[in-house]
Amino acid sequence: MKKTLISLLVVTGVGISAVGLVAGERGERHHNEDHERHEHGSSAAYRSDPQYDLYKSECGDCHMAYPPSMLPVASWQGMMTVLDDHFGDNAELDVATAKEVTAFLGRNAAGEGSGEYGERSWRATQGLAPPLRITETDYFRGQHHEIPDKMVTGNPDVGSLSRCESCHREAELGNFDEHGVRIPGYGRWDD
Amino acid sequence: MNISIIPSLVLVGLLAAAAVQAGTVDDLLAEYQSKGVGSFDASAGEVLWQQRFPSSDGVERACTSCHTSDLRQKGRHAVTGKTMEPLAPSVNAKRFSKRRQIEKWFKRNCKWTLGRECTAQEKGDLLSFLRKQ
Repeated sequence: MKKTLISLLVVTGVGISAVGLVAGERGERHHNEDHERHEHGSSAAYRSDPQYDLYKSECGDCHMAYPPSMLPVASWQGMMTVLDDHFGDNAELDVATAKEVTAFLGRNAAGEGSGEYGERSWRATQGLAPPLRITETDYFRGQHHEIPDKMVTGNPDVGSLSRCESCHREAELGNFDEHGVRIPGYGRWDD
Repeated sequence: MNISIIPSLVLVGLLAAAAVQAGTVDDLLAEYQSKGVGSFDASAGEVLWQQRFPSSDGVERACTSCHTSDLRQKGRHAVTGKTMEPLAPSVNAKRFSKRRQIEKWFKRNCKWTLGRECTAQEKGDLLSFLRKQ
């Protein structure tokens, strides 16, 4: 009788501990998910902008519609004044459309409160001349310098670091999480 | 909903899209003609479509550089590699339905490909060729 009671207490104790462990893990996972969702949400806030569809159709037909938070406002403003020579391509817009797109880029540009990537890009460009390309920023270079050329410029399915979506499969959603990277022909990237 | 009615609705939708397309293109052709052009020639449009032009980077450019020689297939941007939807209205009903889009792409792409804007004659010839694809 005594033995049985002890066994019962032990089993119950193990059971309670197990429940506690599972609950603890769940709690942590919930916390991480909330954290990621928060970061993801704020980094992708530009997609909820009423002019996002305009931006996506006017700029995103030729290349990925990059998150505006990857460059500071001065970079975008400069770029929008020379669309007739847009890195060697002609990307001219009519005056009214260009004005709307410039305003969209400005209010979603890198800066305080522009999400994880935006704030880091912004800090990295403080005090410097406005960068012309996202791939020229110190923040971007710091994130990509370990990736060998053969995986990018030497990779026919990538070709250039400017093709974010080749490896960041959710880039169009504003998600650049390293865990989601899949380099064509090479798979996951783990540094 | 009665299932037998669905094909009819789809057909009506397609016909409506084709009507919008024809209206937009006809309006633009009339506008180009009002600039003193006599008539348009689809075969001249096809020749221009295939023609290769020298460029500052040494690589010849043509409409087909991005749109490929089969207009019913998807294209690929020569610089960025981004996929583009087919241009042939027979497989992509959205094409040539918006005046602003047509004019925007003529301006950008003529400047990139030919190094200058296309004339009213050239744009009319190209549209006459493209609308039949």
